[in-house]
Amino acid sequence: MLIETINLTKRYGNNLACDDICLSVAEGQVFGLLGPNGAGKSTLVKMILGLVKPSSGRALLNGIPVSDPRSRLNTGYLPELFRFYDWLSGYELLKISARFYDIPPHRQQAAIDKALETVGLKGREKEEIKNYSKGMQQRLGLAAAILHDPKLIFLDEPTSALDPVGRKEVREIIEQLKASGTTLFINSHLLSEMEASCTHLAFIKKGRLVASGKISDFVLSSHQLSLKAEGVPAAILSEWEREGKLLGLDDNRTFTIGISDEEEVPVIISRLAAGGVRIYRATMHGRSLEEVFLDLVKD
Amino acid sequence: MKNIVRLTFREIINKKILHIGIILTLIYLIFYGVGLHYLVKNAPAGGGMQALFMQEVGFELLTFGLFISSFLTGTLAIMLGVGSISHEVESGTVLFLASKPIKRSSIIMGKFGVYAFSTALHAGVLAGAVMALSIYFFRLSVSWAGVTLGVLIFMLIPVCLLAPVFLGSTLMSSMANGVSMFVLYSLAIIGGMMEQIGAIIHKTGLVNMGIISSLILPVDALFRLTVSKISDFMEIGIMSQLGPFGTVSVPSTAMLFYTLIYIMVLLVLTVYFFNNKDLS
Ligand SMILES: Nc1ncnc2c1ncn2[C@@H]1O[C@H](COP(=O)(O)OP(=O)(O)O)[C@@H](O)[C@H]1O
Ligand SMILES: [Mg+2]
Repeated sequence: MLIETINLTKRYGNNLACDDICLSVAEGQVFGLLGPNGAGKSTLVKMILGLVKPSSGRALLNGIPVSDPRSRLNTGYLPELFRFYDWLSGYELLKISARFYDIPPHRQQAAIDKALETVGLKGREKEEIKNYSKGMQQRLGLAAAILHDPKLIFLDEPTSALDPVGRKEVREIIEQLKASGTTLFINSHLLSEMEASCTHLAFIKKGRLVASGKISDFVLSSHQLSLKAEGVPAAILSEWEREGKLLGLDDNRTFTIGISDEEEVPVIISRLAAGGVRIYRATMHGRSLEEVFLDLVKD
Repeated sequence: MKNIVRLTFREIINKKILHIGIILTLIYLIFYGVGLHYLVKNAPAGGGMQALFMQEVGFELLTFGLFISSFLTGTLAIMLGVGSISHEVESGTVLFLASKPIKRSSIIMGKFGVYAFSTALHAGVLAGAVMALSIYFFRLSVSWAGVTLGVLIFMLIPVCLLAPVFLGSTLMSSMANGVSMFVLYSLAIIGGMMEQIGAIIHKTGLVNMGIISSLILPVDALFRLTVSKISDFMEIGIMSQLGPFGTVSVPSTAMLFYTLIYIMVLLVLTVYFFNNKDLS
């Protein structure tokens, strides 16, 4: 495991920013941490990077306790609110980064060139950072995060400062990194970003991890059966309700029932038919990830 | 650590405060030199009187010049250092730094080393220039050992100020730290003056207050030690020691050790607090 957190908790006064979080990320995963603003995403990443001290619990990064700086050797990080020493040029900043990660001097130039190329800042690197636009600063941050070819990269809201074109470019860089086998941990409150690139997803809400798994699990476990029917017996209705299957009910004729397996559909229909229910329409559809997401984050 | 040192040098060299400090220092030295030049030109002529005047007034002005210098170099150290840590935290650049595979203690030690070196260099050059001007214009007879020792002690003044400045910078905002440090520094200077006045008029209460303020921030004691080291080897009457910047109550050499321990203890505390700080 590249990342492992065990009951990781951060308390700010009475506010639980992260509550008992257990998760693990294996090599090669693109792990998306989704949740609304203030859910605790940035705090979690900062604890894993040793920036914020956990109130309780433990975390391992690259198999090393996060209190040990060596845990961060093979790691890149693009912070959310991204500020640099704006009295440096982009080039100087990357040079400094390269030194911090002990890239041998004769390989620094090549690494810097490659990173600049990847983020599309080639030719602008000698300018002072204070003259960079927000988007350029974000790209420079990305360049600094990928410069030393780390095994694992944390991206905290990598596209939130960008316009649509910039977002697309960042997504392309993410795809490139993914293809090269780099493990990514991406924080976002935007599902659309994650849907396309992530292999794994976790949902965090008010500091608690409410769901986590492979992206395919989320979509598959969430089929819905939409029924238009008359005369459904009260006993069956209350049974559905009890089991939490009844997701919607309009004018006593249109039902939405949550199921986890397609095989349930014929069972339900024959049972209703046997009970004398008149069925006008039955449609099956998988919920989109967005609906799952909205469900998970709503109170 | 090497990388922090390099980065901090790059940072300091860019600071407007440093540029302003250097310009003010140069202006001050020019004024000081020109002032001495005219004073010597208008000195009473003739025999033993002149030699006495030269030694007395020369030493008095040297002490005065060093006092202003200590204030200049002290203020520069505070102004440069207040944001050394807090500004990184406030602006968010600390996330870049502290997420690197380096110990937090090396961030503090590397930064402190550079700030201490730069401000001590400023103090040394400034004190050296003031002494050179005085010795040149007033033809002061000094011992080079005393002068060297004096300059070295003087160079500790900004370092001694930087220690609480760094501690404050890990605990407070740049603003709060700046205000606290200037209050502390003013108290130390006033305490030092009270100690001298107390010694002249034999009021132990005043002397004790001065000693207490020296323990809280031993900069004034360092200044007095500097003056006493320079005058140790000079043939001057008690007269010249009575001026407002002279030294009647000389701090013991133990103050020097106290200062070194003071700096080390504050640095250890700074590292401790920074190690446990949430950088969010
Ligand atoms: N330094 C801090 N001091 C106090 N509260 C904080 C601090 N940092 C974050 N929080 C709180 O912790 C919670 C989680 O914040 P954060 O991790 O930034 O959420 P997200 O990144 O998901 O938007 C929020 O309620 C926020 O107000
Ligand atoms: Mg965040």
